[in-house]
Amino acid sequence: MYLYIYDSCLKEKKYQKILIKIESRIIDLDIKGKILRLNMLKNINEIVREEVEKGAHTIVVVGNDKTFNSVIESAIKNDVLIGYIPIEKSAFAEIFGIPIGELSCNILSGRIIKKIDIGKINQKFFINSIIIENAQDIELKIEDFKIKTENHNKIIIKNLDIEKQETNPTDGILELFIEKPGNFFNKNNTHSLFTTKKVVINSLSEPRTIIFDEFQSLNTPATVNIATEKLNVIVGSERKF
Amino acid sequence: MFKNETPKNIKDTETIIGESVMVEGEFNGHGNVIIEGKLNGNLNTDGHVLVGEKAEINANIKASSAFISGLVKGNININDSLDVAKTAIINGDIKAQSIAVEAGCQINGKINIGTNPSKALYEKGNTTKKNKIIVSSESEKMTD
Repeated sequence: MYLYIYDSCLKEKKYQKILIKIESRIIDLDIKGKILRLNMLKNINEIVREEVEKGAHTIVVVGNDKTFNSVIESAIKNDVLIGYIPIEKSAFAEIFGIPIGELSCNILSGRIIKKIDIGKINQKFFINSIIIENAQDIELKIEDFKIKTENHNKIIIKNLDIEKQETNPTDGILELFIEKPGNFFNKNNTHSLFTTKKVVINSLSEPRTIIFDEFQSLNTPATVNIATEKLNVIVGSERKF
Repeated sequence: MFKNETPKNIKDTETIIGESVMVEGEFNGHGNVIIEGKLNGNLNTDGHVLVGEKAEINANIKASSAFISGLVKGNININDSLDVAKTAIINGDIKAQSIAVEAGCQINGKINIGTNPSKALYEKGNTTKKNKIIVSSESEKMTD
């Protein structure tokens, strides 16, 4: 059984046309299922757990990258397959080789399944990256060495590289970038790069904020590692990996 | 050889230690390493090491090959070839299968070329007053 999770934004009038086309295509392909509309009051983890117990084997996210992100944790915890119907331009969809709108239903129906790596920060999951802006007094520990940076540097740890889209979410590796912003005379950023499976982030003074997957946050200290082949995703043949 | 070696292509590089970064400890890499910042401890890799002009390294370096144009305080052990640029300052012993040295660099220490220790080219302090060896490009011929 499919469980379709609709983003709350789909109530907006501008999405009605695309939603009708998507639902029509779902019926044509005979991949119907239960529809769940997200709102502030619903706990996704709880609902997904209940639906999996009732027999749901595939969660399909209908929305944007933010919606997809919000459902990842539930999919991992309940060990269930996840599909994606993007309703607008989507970095994840491009990486997974999924077209926008009703055409993505064909990908769902095709059911090419890949196991991808997921980043983990403390007990939270992230699919894309974590960022520490203005990394003052931050110390990073990787294996047997420590990294110290200058105050205004930006630290980015990536599982996927949605900007470059030259990424392999099945390599079991995190990429750690430390960017030093350019100045008036030299606009170019300089950067450092480390590849690793585990990073411990500590602040040598007050706790610092770590942003992960753009809209979630927590404070230092934090341990970041990679969970290999953790998420089962339905992908298209045009995927980037 | 010396002019064109810049860290532009990071695709083949596993690690870049940039100018604004300091690394302390045992760094064991698996691939090419570019260092433009500071490193204290030890560096081991099975790939190529590039030490930039502004780099400051207080570490022993073990690598397959290396290009040095910054400051290194420590011993350098290279399985294959070592290139030393004119801006390099090396305070430590060097072991390598082959070495190319640009005029103007400073090397304070023993240099062992090839696997046979008897081929040691220079001994510490035998060429200049301050234990400083200034090797010109013509000196490469002496290894033959």
